Amino acid sequence: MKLLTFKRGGIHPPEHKSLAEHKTIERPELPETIAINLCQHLGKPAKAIVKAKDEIAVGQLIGEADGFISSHVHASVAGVVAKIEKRMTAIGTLDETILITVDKDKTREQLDTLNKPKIQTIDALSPTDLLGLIKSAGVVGEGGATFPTHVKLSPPPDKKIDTIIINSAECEPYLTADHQLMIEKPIEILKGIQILQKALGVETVYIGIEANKPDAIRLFIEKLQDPSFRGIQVVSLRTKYPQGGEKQLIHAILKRQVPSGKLPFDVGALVQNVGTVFAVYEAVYCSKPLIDRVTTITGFVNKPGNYLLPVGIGFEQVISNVAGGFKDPERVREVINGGPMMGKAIRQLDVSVMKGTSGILVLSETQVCYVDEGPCIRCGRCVDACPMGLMPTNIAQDAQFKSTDTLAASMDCIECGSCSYVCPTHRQLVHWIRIGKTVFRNANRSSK
Amino acid sequence: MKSLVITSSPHVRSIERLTDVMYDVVIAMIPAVLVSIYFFGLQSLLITVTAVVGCMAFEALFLKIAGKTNIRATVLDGSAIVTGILIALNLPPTSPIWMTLIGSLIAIIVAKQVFGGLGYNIFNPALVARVFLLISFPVQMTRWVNPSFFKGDAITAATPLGMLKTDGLATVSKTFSHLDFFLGTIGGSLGEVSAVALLIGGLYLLMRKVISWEIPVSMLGSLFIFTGIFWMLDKARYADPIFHILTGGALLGAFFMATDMVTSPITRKGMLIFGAGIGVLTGLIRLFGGYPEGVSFAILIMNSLVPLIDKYTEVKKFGLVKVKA
Amino acid sequence: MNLVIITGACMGGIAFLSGIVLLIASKKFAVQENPLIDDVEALLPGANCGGCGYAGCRSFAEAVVNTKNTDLLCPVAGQKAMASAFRLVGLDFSGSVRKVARVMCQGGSNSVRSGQYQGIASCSAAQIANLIDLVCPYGCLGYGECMAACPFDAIRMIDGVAVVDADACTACGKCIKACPRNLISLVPYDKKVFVACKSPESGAAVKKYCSVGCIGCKLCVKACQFEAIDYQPFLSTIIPEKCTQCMACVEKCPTRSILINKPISEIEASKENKVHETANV
Repeated sequence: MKLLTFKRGGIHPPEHKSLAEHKTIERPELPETIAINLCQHLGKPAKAIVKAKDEIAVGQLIGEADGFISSHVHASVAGVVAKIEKRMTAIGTLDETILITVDKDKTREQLDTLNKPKIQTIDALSPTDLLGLIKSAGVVGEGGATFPTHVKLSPPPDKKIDTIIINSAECEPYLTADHQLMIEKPIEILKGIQILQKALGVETVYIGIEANKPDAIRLFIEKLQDPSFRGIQVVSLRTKYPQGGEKQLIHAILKRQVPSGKLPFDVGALVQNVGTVFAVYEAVYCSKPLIDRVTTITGFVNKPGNYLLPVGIGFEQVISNVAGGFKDPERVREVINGGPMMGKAIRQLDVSVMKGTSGILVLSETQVCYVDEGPCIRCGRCVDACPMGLMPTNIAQDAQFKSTDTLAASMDCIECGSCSYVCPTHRQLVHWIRIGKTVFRNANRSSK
Repeated sequence: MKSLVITSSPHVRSIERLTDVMYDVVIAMIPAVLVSIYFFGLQSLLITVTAVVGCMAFEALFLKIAGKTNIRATVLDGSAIVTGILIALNLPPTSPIWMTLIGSLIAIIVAKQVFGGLGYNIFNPALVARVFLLISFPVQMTRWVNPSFFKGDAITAATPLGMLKTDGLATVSKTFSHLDFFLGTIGGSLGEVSAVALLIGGLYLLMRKVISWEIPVSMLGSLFIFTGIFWMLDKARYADPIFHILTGGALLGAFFMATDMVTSPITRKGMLIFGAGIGVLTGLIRLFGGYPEGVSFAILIMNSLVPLIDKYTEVKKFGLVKVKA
Repeated sequence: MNLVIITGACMGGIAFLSGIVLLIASKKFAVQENPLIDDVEALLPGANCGGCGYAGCRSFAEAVVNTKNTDLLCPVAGQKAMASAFRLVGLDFSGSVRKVARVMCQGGSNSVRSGQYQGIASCSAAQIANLIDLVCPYGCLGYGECMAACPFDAIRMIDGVAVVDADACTACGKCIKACPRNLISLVPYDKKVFVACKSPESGAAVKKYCSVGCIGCKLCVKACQFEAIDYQPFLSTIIPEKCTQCMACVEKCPTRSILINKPISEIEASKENKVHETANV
């Protein structure tokens, strides 16, 4: 099969996927308490609708969406609300968090009923019904950006979507959660895709899978023999980072470039992560809200693997009880929420898993290679690596020396980290470009 | 457990570092240095060592005076070593030690550190040193000897390009064959004589992806075409293009000096323009200028145009396409 | 000899002609300017720091002469110079209140940090990417971006917190713009009492990450007889216009987050002592 890919830039970091690859998804022991952040998504935080000492059931709505770009938050366990307070989240913000004391037996019992499909087909449901179910289940993009899915599925009426792309590239090194999910739940994912097809009235669907997951590609081609899955096609993509970037994926598969400053629906495409599709399936068929997700725990831990984690379980609990603890606590340097290229380093372990936590990566002192920045030697490696066709070194230099000449280009940066990765003098290019974005926004605001 | 480190993404980095890049260049220059020692004897080794030690010492001294910390790492990052070897390769084998040291001083302090150190210099430091010495000490800088190995004791001789300028093409073709240029049994600077050694080094750099093909190819190509046109017009007066590529500093410049990352354009398109400019300027100076050799001047002139080239050859941004209505 | 004369004559001629052209140009294109602008500009420091909000001292002088607005203030030259400037343009002006910048945080070693940030050492860099080791989401990060922005060397980092030297401060406002956490504000020079905290979190939350933060206990509000304390949920701010510096609130504050602004040398000395004491322990 011909491998598709995006044209410009891209890098090939060592994959390290073998650590957790093909490890069966396990459901860990329940913890004593769980802390669910009310801001699990991009947009406005949800509003708490429970109070301390309230008894709650699994899947009960505890945070209500506040505004259009917002999402519901549900309880992932049964138990009693201990308290509601502001806590550090895994993305470094301080947000309202609901602490729940877990009732383990009840949780297990209720989860069993919740996990069972309630309906057999979606024939009786209209697109509006489907959207409603997805919205009330609080489904958000599981790829990391956590954009509320129901918002993404309701494009402005003047934008016509003709193609859905399922993002199964999983181009981040180390992470294998999406891969394992595809292996274990292909039918559920395909049913989830049917829901998206119906909700949007779109026939054409491409499932983009990187060539380093040949078993997943084979499996999906086999399952697609079933004539009931119409319009769905598997495409294999070249293994190259950032193949799973939304704009890169659209370019690779459809040969359409999302114009600068525009969104995928401007070129008639919609991209959904494969984990999100599974959540959509559960929301519709099982009426189960997004309360758990498959996460890869990998790196410098004793038992790397893929785990089905309830939203709100603490990182500390996850690492020590689920993943067998650190290999050597003294040598742990970084714990990352997400993958190594775009994930966020957390500063303390008492944060909890969120809907967007695609991976928990522990890096030891030998893997973390922070070196002070050197000067730019103008080697041009960042220019060659940038998938967006930017000149990272120029933007970084302008951000550093507070000039605004090239900063307009920084707004196109997707912060994939390819430039920083290749820089031989270890310049913090992505970080400088982030600063450049802020400088540019402020300059624009004051000139208006 | 120690407290966790928080750094900006990406949290993993390519293993390639600045020092690796620099030491790759050093490795690539070893064949040329060995050939020069083979031809010109220990004098050549002495010049090379002096230039390298001189460059590192001057850099350390400057950083110390400027009150910089981290002197050790900066001096050992390999860039001063590269500059030192390049200076040596650009000097005639009879260069006195004091002149080599002055060259190192000019290269490191005037051409590099005064601009802000590695990454901020506009001109290639080694070339600034060469041109400075050529203008200041024309006698010492043009006292060439024939490689002692083949022609007995070192005798004063002209470089092929110098001979071409003063005695005309007929004398040159009588004295040398193309094989001489290729192997290096001719007079010239330490690093200019042997085309084959330079090619080996250049191919190594290309293979290691330290340099990209654009600059060498466009520079040598444009030099070939430019001198080729004149050769076709008057074969008795102008030397053939192969001669121009194999003699003088053309190969040294194409692989080691024009490709200096700091002083060449960032974009691929820019590199092509930059290389072509050097080729044409070199040809112009060689055929019509006052000096027999023009590679160093050509590179320095194009160095000064790099910001302009960069500005007009910006990479095409992703997503700058017309939206279909 | 002839050659010399001809050359001399030619050059002289060109010089003469150019002189005439210049003369005509200077008469014809002369710009009429109010001479007062020059006089006012002479009173200004000429540093073109931009602290007044104008492009430079010249444009500030133009604004003074043209608008005659007594609210204009050159923070560097100060009240006296402004008074004489306004006298020049025919206004009777006795000067307004001198202001200084003040950092509303005293966290530093009193606040909890977790993790260890490695990267671009500037406050805005850490803030933008949310790579912050300070747990308090409002406090001073301590990378000294304001210090670097200050054109008058009036800010120093003491114990991980920026401290303004009130005597050197000219209230130019550069640090206020530089601080990504908006911790610096301009206050009247004479009013020394201030709440050194900007955390609007509840007392329980603040106590988790800082021992000297405002916990919103309202004791200062009760203690103040002059209604000089503006209490928003869990954070007090002192209204300088009403404050009489009676010190009642300073004494009552249980977390000592209400401070009397001391000269910078004293603060430095006290911190050194503290370091000394802990070292002895």
